[in-house]
Amino acid sequence: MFRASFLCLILFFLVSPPARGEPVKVMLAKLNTDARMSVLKPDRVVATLGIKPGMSILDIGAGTGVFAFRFAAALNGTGMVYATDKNPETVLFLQKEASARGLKNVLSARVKGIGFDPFYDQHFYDLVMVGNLYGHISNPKDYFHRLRARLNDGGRVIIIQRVNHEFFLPHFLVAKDLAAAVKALKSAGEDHPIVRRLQAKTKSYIFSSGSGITEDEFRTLLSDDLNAMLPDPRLFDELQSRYLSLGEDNPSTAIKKMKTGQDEFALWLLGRLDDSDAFGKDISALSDDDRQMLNRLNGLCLRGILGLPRPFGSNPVGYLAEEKTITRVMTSAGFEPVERAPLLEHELLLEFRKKADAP
Amino acid sequence: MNAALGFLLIFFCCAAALPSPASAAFSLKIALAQQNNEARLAMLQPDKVVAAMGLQPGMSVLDIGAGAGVFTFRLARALQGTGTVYATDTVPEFVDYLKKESLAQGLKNVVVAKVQRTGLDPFYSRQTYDLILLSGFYYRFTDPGSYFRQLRPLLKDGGRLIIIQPVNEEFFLPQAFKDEEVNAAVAVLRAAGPGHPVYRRLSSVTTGLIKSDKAAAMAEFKALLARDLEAMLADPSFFPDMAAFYRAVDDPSPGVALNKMKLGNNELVRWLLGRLDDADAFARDAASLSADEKKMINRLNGILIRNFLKLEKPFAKIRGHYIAESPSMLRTLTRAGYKPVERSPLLPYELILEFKKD
Repeated sequence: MFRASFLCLILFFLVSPPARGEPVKVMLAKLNTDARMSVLKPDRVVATLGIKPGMSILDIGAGTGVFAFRFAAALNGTGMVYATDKNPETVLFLQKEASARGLKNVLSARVKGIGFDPFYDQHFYDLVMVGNLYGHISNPKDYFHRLRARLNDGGRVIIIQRVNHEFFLPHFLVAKDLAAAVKALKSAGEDHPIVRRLQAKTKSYIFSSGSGITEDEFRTLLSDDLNAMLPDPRLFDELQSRYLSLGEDNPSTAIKKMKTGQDEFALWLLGRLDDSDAFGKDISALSDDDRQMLNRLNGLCLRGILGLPRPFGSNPVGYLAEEKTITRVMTSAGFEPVERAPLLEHELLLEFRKKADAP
Repeated sequence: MNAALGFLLIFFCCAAALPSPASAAFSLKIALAQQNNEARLAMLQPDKVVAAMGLQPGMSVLDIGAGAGVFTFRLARALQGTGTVYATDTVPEFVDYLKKESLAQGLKNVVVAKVQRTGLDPFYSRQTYDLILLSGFYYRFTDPGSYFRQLRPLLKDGGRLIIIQPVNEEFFLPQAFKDEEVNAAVAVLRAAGPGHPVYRRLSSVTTGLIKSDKAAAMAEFKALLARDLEAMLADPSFFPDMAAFYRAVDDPSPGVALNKMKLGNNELVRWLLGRLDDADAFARDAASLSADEKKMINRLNGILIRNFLKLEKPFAKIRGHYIAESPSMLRTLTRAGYKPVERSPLLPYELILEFKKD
């Protein structure tokens, strides 16, 4: 039984899930934002994947062709890019756009939203791209096992997935959020633990007029500063002392005042981190698990205090499978992981190669 | 500076704070009801705890933050008129109550004192103690390391320090269920039907009572329900079953199933799912799970069950704050010059840590 589903790429590329049948124009606008591209870096990804002339490439859930058209261009008129989607409008758009761009090696096809579409059994592939879609495949093991049978020897599957950690990017600090953050920092004052951690240049933009820094420069400065705070084991202690007013001694009161909106999560992280003495340790002495938890806790506090939303909103997919889970599933479906240095900072890019059949 | 003290904030300039309900409108009546109600006593089991303390006649016992005297009066009775129980609190209403009540109970070996909120009150150093008890407010210390270091010389050689703290776990306690809560949960279960993963895990006695319209004895039903739910908390296959049950026909992905469980934007659930799935915990046998994985499954299942049955977390007021846990407390006390005394756990829902001077 293989019941796999993939909502088209769109669902994942959006700040919020689109209404069904959203016009392609709106989809395009949302999909190809600078913010999205700054995270996904499709040019860099395609350049690194070792595309060779004549390859057969399958782009599952191709959406508006962020990858499909780049694959086609990299193939330089040879081979074939099969770009699938479950949304008929998207498929139509891919067709029109391919012919407008004069790309003859793109074939778009509409596939069903659930399960392994028979279309996939019509071809063999050297490379399969699964861009931010994994979370919507309900039985990935069966799905990829079936797909494996359609891979040429040495064929690869690339799975791209949002990372489950906190980060700040200039592109996500839209005017409204930037204004909220500046207001919060200004009223927090210069002795606030966050303000104390800002670079002098960042501070001067906030506190003195005529700093000579443009809003765009400030965006980058602020997001750099906030990223530097995310792994800091001392940040939480200092925030907590700051948000406990005299006469109160309950850490959860401080967390409430930081307006994380996720008090239970913050308290969970606090308990685990305190148990492992992470707040008393040097950054270099922290375990991977501690680092991950610290990143989330600091992220919750920073966003809460500054009124900043998480990039891409609160995860519309609900649950994101993570690296070990995907690797385990792919291994059991007959693939082996391909080691590579991390290519993207804020997307998980996993590469798998079809394991040769036992002789 | 006190870098070693890690997370605990240096808020009162190196002095530790003593507990006190922070709310402005303190009501003794409410506070007494909170500390002496059936559910709280079922969780804390003070008779059992005091009996296990091994009190000897003539002992000098200090009960810090005595509150409504849940332990004070039991300790005094266990000493059978000998020795002294020093009961302290920062709240004047509690201090008055403790004085009146020991008088009313004819307990002549109780000395009650109001102590200051910050730092170690001078009252403490007028005596030395065979036993120091601190129940339910460790989390309120801003700098427990410094507090317990100052307390240490007041402990006699061979004397013991006992810290009691609710566990940071999900659990179901029949006494903590409200009648209307249970009635609502029954309505939810009836509507969900026998195919639901929670319903399927109920014992046949429990489901028999749910199906019949006969009003069963509430107390009996609560006990059955609590026992059944408690068993679900540790079950690694509970989440996969829920995900399968809530799977949408038009989009059978786990993310959509989660949304259908109506958990709201609960980041903790997603965090736990990611960690547990990465460890393959859902597919493994309960016996092979690590302590950390068990803890995560307990929390995840607890959130899902409560959310489904609309059950409150028991003692949310007492437990709704951050709870320092065993490794953290052990570390702090060890650094303050104590060594832990190994004991098998006495209570399921309270952590009892015992220390001697190192």
